Amino acid sequence: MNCRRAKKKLSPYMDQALGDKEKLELERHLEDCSSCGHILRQLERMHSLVQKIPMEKPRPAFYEGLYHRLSQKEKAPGEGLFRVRYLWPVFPMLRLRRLAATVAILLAVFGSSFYLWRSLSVPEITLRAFDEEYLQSRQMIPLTDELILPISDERE
Amino acid sequence: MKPSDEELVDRFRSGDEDSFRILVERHSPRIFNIACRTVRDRNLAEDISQEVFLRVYRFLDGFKKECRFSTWLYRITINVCFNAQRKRKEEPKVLIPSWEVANVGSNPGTPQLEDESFSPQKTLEKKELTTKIKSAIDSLPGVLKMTFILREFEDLSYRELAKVLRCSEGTIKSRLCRAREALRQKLEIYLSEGL
Repeated sequence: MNCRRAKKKLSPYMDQALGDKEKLELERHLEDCSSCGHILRQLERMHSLVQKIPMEKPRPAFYEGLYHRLSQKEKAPGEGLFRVRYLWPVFPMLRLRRLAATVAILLAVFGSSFYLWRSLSVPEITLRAFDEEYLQSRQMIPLTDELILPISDERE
Repeated sequence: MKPSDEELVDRFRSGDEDSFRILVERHSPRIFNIACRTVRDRNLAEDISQEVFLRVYRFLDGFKKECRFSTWLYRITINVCFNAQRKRKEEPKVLIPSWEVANVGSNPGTPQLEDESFSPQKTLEKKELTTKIKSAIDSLPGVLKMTFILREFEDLSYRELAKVLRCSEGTIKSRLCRAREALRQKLEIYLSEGL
């Protein structure tokens, strides 16, 4: 094992996360290499210094603040049995996000199919409207000598 | 016998609010500690911890027990910490006078490295060393810092770390190696064998 490889193994060696073979190889290398041994001792000292930094504790006001915020949050969705949280076990599928996504997809599908249906049926409606408009316009010209012929005849 | 986290979660789901308080009291010191080590600001760390438990309260019904409750809790903590750090970077920086820099991240009552002697000189040196170590940890890139904190302060195994940080154990090994090497280089003058 060379020094470059050995240096990478020092950290897992400290954490006892090396396999037996790797551990043995590293220990053999450390016996011969004072430089890697020095680094290992530095890492171990650093670990012991870090461990001596005491744990920080939250102040009592932290809990007061948290419970106050929780009580506010609790009231938000509703009261008692109508709270959304209590409805979920009754309707397991009633997850708000899933429900919103499902509704959005359904709306998109129905909306697009309705639009397609409307757009496909438009020419027929337009033609009929055009016929009616044509007939009305013909009737509104009082001085015309032309006979008002049925549309079917005119087309022929 | 104390109920397990998972039992408390079940009780809370069936409407027992006190179970949530037990969960808060059980885990809040560790969550606060992680937040404190990550952001080095007690007030911000308290805000982060509160936000973590508010999220837990809100999303506990969605917790599927695919992993341990503590793993899920750590994941939330990490997300909230990263969000807080991102926000803090975006905010305009406030200049801190140099005489206050040494006390950033610790209030006057916070103990420093556990004192073995009462020599004022040694106490001062240890206080300085604590600050240097904290600064060095703080200077690590986000993911390396979080991996190091969870390993060194929370004593999470490689497997647990991989689950919490959603990566392989090999990645954890590599991150820890890089974090430790970076810290060793920064703190080299304090790591002499005579000290």
